[in-house]
Amino acid sequence: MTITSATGAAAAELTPVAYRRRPRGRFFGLRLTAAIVITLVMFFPLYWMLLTAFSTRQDLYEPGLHLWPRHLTLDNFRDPFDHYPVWTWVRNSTIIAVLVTLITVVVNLLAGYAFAKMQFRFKTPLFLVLLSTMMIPVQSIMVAQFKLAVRLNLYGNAWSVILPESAAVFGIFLARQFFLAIPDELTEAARVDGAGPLRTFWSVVLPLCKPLVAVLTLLTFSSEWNAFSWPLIALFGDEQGYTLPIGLVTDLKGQYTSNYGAIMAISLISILPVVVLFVAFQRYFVEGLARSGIK
Amino acid sequence: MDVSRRSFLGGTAGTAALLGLGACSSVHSGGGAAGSSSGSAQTTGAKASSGPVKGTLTFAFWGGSTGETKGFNYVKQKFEAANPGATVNFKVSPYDGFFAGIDRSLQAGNGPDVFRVDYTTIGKYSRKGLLLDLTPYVSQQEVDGFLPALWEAVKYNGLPYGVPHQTDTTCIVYNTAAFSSAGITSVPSKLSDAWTWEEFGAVADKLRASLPPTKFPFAYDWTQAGAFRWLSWLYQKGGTLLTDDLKHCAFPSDAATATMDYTKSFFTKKWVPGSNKVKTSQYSDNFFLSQTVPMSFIGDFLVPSLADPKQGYKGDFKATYMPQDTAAASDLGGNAIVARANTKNKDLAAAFLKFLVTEDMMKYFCEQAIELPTLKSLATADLNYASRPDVVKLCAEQAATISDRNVKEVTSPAFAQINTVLQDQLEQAFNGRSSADSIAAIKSGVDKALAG
Amino acid sequence: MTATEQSAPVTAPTTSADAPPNPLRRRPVRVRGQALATGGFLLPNLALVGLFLVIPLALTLVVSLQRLESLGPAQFLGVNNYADLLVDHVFYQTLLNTVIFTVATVPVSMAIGLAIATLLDGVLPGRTLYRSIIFLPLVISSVSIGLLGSWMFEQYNGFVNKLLAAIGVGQPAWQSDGTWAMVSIIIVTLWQRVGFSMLIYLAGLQGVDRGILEAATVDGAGPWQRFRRITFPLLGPSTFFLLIMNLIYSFQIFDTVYAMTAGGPNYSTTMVVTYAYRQGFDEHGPGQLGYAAAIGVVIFVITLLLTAGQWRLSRQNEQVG
Repeated sequence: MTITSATGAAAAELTPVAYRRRPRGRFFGLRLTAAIVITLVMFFPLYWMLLTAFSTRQDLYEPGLHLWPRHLTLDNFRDPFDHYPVWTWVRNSTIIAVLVTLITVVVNLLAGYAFAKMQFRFKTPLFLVLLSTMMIPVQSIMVAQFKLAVRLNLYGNAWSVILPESAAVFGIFLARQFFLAIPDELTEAARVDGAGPLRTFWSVVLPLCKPLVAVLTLLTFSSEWNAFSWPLIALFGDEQGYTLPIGLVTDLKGQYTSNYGAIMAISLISILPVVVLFVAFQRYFVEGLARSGIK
Repeated sequence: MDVSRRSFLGGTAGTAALLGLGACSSVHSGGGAAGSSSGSAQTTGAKASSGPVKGTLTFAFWGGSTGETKGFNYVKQKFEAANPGATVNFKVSPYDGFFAGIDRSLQAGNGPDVFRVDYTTIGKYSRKGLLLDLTPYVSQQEVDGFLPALWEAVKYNGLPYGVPHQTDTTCIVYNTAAFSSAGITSVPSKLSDAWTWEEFGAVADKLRASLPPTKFPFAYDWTQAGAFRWLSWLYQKGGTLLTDDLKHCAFPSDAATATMDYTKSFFTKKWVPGSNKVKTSQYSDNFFLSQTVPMSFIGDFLVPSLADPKQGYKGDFKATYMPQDTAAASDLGGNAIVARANTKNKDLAAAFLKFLVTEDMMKYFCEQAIELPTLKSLATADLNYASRPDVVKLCAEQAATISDRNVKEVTSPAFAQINTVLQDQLEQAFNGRSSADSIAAIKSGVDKALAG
Repeated sequence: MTATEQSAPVTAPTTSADAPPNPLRRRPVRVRGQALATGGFLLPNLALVGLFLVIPLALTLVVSLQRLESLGPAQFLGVNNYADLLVDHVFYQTLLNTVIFTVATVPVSMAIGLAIATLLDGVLPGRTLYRSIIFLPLVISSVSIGLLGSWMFEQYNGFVNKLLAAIGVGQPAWQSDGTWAMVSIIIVTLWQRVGFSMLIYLAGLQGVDRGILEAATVDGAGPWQRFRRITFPLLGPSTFFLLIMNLIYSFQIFDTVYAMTAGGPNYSTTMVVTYAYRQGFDEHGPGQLGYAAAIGVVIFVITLLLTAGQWRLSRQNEQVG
């Protein structure tokens, strides 16, 4: 499968050995300049978000281009916090993202292990069917998901987001590949020692899989923290139940179109956790994203 | 400063019409699939005076302004004090998306017991039988207390499905400094002196000439569900949207063509910002607040946010009347409060609705929110408006130009759908589609909506 | 480095879903216990996917045959929704918008990504930092990016037009002109997605045999020729992977558009998924859930075709390679 070969290569990128041996080459100065310029251009919008968040409305809406802050202010943070339940949104986002991550990682690890180490009928077709559900866009099935949430009496509370969002499969794919690389002798030895499948999985296999768990946890958490489409439908109507992205787009965008400082301030808060995680665990992110293509 | 609302009821033809509308509404079948669900056979006012009520109630409304929030909090407090054992829980969300949320929760069966709805949208719920019929809860005397046109606005098939809580309308606010630097010295200070379309155009041209290309003379409040405010221009030109029996669209007409041409020219003449079309998230007050326009058409309910010392308008602003042509006209803004048909505690819900429109509650609410009351007794009373009484006074006068035809059209049961048609078609018209095509498209859309 | 070593097993390449046959299969005594265990491992995930993805997919088909309004009960319509869809010119416009957006974003983001990857492939001080910053927009929420985009492209006070004014160039109507609005969304999406292509290509470049390149240099091939004749063909799998992933991403774009333009002005930035949302759920839409479901079915069929195309192409690829 092509996905595998490309991502296999992506993973090879994690081994920086090759670079050390190579000479600088002819266009070194030019390349360095270009790289720095591109990086600055790519970083600029985020700088602009930062600048806007801490600028006074007067400065933002005055004619003329100013690349540096002139009057720093915290009003853009204060005002939304005073008028909207921003902390509640942060709390909701956190609860939902943590629970979805917990459920998803556990069920994906279990299923991935079954596909890697257990024998059963229709294994390949089942695997392919599961993989292909990755391609179903939310907007395709949102009406039915909504009806279902209503039928299951979930609509109007956080579980209407948590459960459907936990129906994820991309982790199975990652997990299965990881487990396949663990030698059968290990699991076989555990079996001979009298360990059941669950015990084998828990005490023998899982301790070897910390990087896998880290990748899955980080990716699921950040993608759920950013989730928008389905929560927009499921949480609509009661601002006490909103997550940060929903609150940003409905409450704040409507209210502060004439003061983007406030919108950028709360946007900044909403991207901060993921940016921090990214900086701290970049390697895992890079690996996971390269393999799944999902964010 | 106290503002007398006497002008609202004064001698103008429009006001007389507003008051007189109730008379022509008595004959209705009263049945129909929608009305029957809550039982139309109940006697008027059978439960009009009940004792204290108990239980918990959810009240959903949109966070309009700090003034409105203050007003609702006051009502909640007083209601809970008057009815020990009754609790009102608020469910607040922004106006944008409010009804989408209501629809979804109604479908899910966990909708709020009581919610706020504008007069132009109430028909969407009442015609589906989703609202509580208040017939048994209100006495004839109480009905007579409301301005007839507004009581009419909450009825469907002759039955009341809510209480009219407040009303508001559009006026013009402008930056005084920008006007003097553009050389505009005289601004109408009497309703009868309101700018004609020509005079208004001259003002816009003067502003255009004095402003840099990134600024614009004015912004209009036809954004999103405000699309129906386009009709004010049509009414000013002497046109109507619907035929007299309210069964068909009255387009094409000369007035429609003239109105369409005129409003489309706002964009070609660069009188309004290019993004001041219908489907945008920037409302007319946003353009004013961000100083993109020195003049804006806004509803009086926005005055508290403009007057807010911190987030409000930077600079000195005053208000004037809507322009007029063959007639003066403005839009019927404002909201009713309704209860869900299948709410668990109907008596409690009805009691809360009625409490909201008691004189004291309505007075306090309107004073805080800078909005106009719906009770006759208050319409003639002095209200202590919390900010900018000059603007409210003006809007109260402006409200007299809301004709009975205007009210009838925008409160017809299909109007929520008609408003969606207006949103779609005006957006296209302002993006360059010809007036003739736009008018034809509105006609076919409106006729389809009326056919059900 | 420990992290590298530990993560190595994740990368084990495998091409088949079937593991080697297990001798345990032939021992009937254990079969039952094992079946139970297998079920226990699989069931939680299967139940979630079945309940919240597969059943809704089937239900979507059912609803697409109904007239279902946001407030009313359902009424069977047959294929009327689909018939309406066939003559709905707005639907075609949104399809066209989606195609334009996809065609404008996918190849360009890949080309830029490849250029940056080539630039960063080699000895360069601060290389990791550049890579991280270019990659950063990918982990940020699309909603924040859409909001940031709508602010930077704000017609009167936004950064872009202030910059253009400062250098004396005309300022496009990013918010009120449909074409410019589409351009602004494309630019923002490129900014967001370039890092992904860069990353995959950087990885792909690691797999290119330096020996062949050196041999080509000896034979007198210039840098461009080496790139065209050797490097790029060898990056085939990366290109293919990116093409599929980016196609699906662009075809299903929703969050950025919703936060940035909400589909306007008019319908000029309404994508097909945005249109489905608008028809079914949007406050200002008609609240026609049945119709929205029909659009959903069409979106699903198109996604299916894209995926099927991928399978075919990948099989061919493997045969060729």
